[in-house]
Amino acid sequence: MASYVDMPLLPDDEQWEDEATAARHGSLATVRATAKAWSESIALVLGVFTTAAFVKGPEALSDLADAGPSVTLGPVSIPVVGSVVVLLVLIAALALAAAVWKAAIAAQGSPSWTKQMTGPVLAAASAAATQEAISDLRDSRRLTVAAAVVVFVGMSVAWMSQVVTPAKTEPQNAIVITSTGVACVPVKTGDDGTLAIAMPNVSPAPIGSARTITLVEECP
Amino acid sequence: MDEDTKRVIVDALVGAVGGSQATHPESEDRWPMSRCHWLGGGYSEKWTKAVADAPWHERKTTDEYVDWYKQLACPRCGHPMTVLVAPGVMPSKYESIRDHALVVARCNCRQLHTDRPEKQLGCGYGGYVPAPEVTR
Repeated sequence: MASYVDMPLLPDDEQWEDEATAARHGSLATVRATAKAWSESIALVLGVFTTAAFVKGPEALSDLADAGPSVTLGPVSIPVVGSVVVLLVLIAALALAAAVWKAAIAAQGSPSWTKQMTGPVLAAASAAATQEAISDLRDSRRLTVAAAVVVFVGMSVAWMSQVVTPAKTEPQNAIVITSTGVACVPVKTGDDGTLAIAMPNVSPAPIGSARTITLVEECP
Repeated sequence: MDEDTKRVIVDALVGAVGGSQATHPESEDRWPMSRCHWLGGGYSEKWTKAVADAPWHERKTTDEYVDWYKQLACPRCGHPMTVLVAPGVMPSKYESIRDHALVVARCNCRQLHTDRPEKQLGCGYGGYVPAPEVTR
């Protein structure tokens, strides 16, 4: 003989039972709606990393490579400012991705299959899911604020490095006429203040004795 | 005529022609009463015990899943009623099903009961009964 439960059925209990029946009949629609919402969340999570490139600064992250001091480790020269900004970009991107993830989970939940979908089970599961959603929403907001702060710091570092670092002089093409010939070469002011030939990947070479040096936009 | 005799007569009349518990206390000794009025939220130990004692029947819905039902005459109105427990999708992950292994049972007969709201079934009685055992 089965035991029974000496407990009256309240109107709220009946409502949960009705909702459990409706949820059971709408199981497939629920899962598909969650999958659709999640597919949109994927684009958001991936878009975060693209958005994080906003921290790239005045021009691009590559511009920061020449700004500020560098640390030499063997054959590798690591620009300090650029590295710090890249690190901040990554931290911000990860925090934003986590914030989007948490918000998506809070909004969509994680549907699961149960062998007995009843009013009491749905009521208990809804209470647990609500508490989880509150926690996820709070985490998402905190992560968003943290990411915004990191983005702000990263932008500040990037811009400050551009302000305090004098602009590099780009090589200028020039037609150089010497006693032995004529050549069109890129020239720039060397460290000692004299004009030097600035060929790519080669240390600037002093021009030496030139009869005339004519600056041109492009070499003929 | 003493009070007990009056009560027996009233109960007999209510049982015979139906009636509202609000105006006449309904004697469970007279159950089943096919013409009883609808009584929302109606509950009694006798009703719940009778429904709980009815056996669960397992019904295969897919190769992997089953649902359970019990079919009996409502202890109050005597009309056929069913209780169904079936699988479904929860809004979130939830494992501890056995902590809430109760099922809401309600009379859901289709026979007419006076005062019953539209879109409702049954005579208004209901209660909690133990859920079927999950064997697989």
